[in-house]
Amino acid sequence: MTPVEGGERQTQLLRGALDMCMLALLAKEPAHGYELVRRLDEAGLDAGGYGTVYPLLTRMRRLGLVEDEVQESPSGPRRKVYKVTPAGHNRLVAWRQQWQSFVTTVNSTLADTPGGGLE
Amino acid sequence: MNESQQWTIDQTVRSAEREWRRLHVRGADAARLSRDLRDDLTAAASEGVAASELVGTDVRGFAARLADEAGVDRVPYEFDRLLLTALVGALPGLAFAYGLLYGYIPVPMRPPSDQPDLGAVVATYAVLTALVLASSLLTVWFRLRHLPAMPQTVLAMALLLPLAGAIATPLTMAFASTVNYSNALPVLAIECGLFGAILAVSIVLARRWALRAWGSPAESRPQLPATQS
Repeated sequence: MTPVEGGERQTQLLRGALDMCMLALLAKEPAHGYELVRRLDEAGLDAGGYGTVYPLLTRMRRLGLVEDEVQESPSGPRRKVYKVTPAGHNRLVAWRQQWQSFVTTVNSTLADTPGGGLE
Repeated sequence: MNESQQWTIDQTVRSAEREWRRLHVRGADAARLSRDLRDDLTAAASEGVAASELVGTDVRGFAARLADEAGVDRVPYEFDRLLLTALVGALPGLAFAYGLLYGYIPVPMRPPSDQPDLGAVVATYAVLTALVLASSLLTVWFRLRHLPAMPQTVLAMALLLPLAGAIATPLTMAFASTVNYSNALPVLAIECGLFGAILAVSIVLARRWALRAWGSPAESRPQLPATQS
């Protein structure tokens, strides 16, 4: 198997954590689809754009992790804003613990190798 | 939002809707996905971001991913399997009918007369046609009975195929008369194609008829078996 390098490796690493990051950003503040893409970009996460984020958001809604709420605006179009449900908050807590445990394990593994990021 | 942005949103949503139709996404689910997508693209457009910038050029791929992630139901038409099975299933009946008609399979019957009775000729062809139809329907039932709504499909085929045959026969004969009943291969191919196409349309209509409940809301619809893709 050919090792994956650069941006593709970054994409693969993010793939397993993107839903968690989306949930975390929505837990901070509800957003509509495009706004969430922008926030991911601002956070430095190259999530693959709207084409990746919007379908994933739809899946999270199907799983009951987020729910949408239509906000009517007198000056602009109505917006469907996504916010985290109680089940989503619980899931985020579990995912965060799992992630921290995973990162600790990976860091300790890397630290035990020659030049393991300690130079 | 300007007209150009609205036009881009319309185009994007229409392309997505076409893809959902191609994927046989249930009408109610497609309408919901379409409404949500339009709202989101409109919200982005009000901030100056065009739909084409967001979705990109591969709208079909985006729509397919969206349908997958939304977990929508797809109407299990299975037209290709149904048509192929119906055709293959008709072959034994055709072979048997051919054998009976040309005397390869002996049956007790009255000796032929110089003045054949029209009623007897029609009855003979009707029996042979029924034989082919029964062979096809039985094969469809035994091979595809695990698919949803197959009893209704076979019943609908049993009703619509004879009707289709009744329509196809005079049409094919009318075409044949225009070419002076030629036996040239291209003419025969067109006649077979015409007849086959009308039968195929009737099978597609029968399946759609049997599955019309799948277009209704989920609570009134039978559940897909676990093996269904």
